[in-house]
Amino acid sequence: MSGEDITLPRRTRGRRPQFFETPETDVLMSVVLAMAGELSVLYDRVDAMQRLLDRQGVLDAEALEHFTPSPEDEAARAARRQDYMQRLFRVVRAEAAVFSSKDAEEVLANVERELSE
Amino acid sequence: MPGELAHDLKIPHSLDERARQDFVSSLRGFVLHDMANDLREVYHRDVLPEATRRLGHEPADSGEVHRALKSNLTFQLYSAMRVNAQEMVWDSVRAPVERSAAWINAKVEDASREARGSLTLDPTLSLPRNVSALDVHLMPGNYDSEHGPGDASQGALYDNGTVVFFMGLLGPDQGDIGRSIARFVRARYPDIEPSKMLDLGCTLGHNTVPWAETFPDAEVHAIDVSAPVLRYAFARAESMQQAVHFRQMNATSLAYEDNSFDVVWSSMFLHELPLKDIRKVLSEAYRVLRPGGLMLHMELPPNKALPAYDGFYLDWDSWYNMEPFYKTFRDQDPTKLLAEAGFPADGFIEHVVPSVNWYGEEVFAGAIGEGASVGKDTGRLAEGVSWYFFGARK
Repeated sequence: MSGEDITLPRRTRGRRPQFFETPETDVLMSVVLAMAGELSVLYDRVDAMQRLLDRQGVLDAEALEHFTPSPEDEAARAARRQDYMQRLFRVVRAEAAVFSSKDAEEVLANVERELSE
Repeated sequence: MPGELAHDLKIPHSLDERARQDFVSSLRGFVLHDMANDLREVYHRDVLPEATRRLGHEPADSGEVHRALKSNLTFQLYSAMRVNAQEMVWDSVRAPVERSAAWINAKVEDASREARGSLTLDPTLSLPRNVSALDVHLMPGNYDSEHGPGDASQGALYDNGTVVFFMGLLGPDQGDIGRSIARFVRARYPDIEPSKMLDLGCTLGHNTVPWAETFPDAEVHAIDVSAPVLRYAFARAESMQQAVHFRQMNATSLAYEDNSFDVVWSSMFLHELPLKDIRKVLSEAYRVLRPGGLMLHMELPPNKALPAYDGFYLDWDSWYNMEPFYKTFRDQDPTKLLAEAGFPADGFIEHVVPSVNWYGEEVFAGAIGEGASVGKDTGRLAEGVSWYFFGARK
């Protein structure tokens, strides 16, 4: 595979439909679904690992419990968590560009009002 | 796992990417099955009686059902989750496509050497606004965006995304619609014997290739307005050892001669067009068909064939999946459209064809055999998977 960079667009043209009374609820729904997705991905990976380790007879439960990441491990894990944030909060970032400024102001005004009540 | 693509443009997906795609397929299954059943039940139990009192009559069409449901929480949850699932379809395959885009584009270049078919692009073609101004199916970049010279990555995005979207229902080459209907035509219209056929709005050519495979002696042509999907379609068909002549062209204005095709076909195409373009496409199809030739369009069944709620259920995509012409198309009477395009009134045909991928070869062959009742229930999306088409003989 070539390493040449092609970036596909992240956002859909047009305005995202709002189904709930307040736009925050629509945003939260998206975050919850992304979170559910990532949880499922994680579960599948752990499941695959356990099954492989079990088949090969190499799972050391004690070592797993006391696992300490090396600096390289830690860097890889931090990068993965960053990637995870991008996916988890995908909609939060896309909203900023997709909503018209008027909609964004409405969101802000609503939040401000609620917080000062 | 929704399934792997069965051609050489198949790209690698990581363990997590596959798990993410699996999740989205499962989420869609949950929304389209469990939540859709809840929505139907809540509508008939709670929303319908209340709306009937308020209106003085039962909601009579898809629009009235939609208005009655808008403030209902079950509708809101269903719709919000379905829109998110749709966005997540593309999101789940974007990274693998980005990583492999340069490799895919190189495959397209390779395909043009010693090709069986051909690829003819027309850089002067001006794209219709329903393609250039929209992201149909909420796919960012739509069919037409190019991210560099000779770029086919939007084709790859669409191909990989539709596997997730259809939960693998279309089979490993995603050709089930074309394959089921081409075989149906071969069984039901043995006199057609196409020597030359045309696919309109072919995108990936995934429903073109099965025609080439079903009618190996036919010269198969396919057109689309978007270059990225055509590049992808060409390399894809070549990798499957099928000869298809892909050409960048608008179906509203065909560059082919009168009476030159035995079959003109499209799948899931007309409903993406404004009505005035649908009329032009049908007239053009009539013009290029030879007398006695067969035109057929695989589509969603028209609203007139469905109860108001079922019409609403299908029209959902028109309101929320960036397919703004979908409802207008489904509100039309196909027999009238074809008559306006010049087809003889008694030439109209419509059928519901069982999916060969879903039912398997044996059941499928039995169902399309002589005397079978396929074609009577044109409105009903029956249990399992079936495809509706309408058309006419010229």
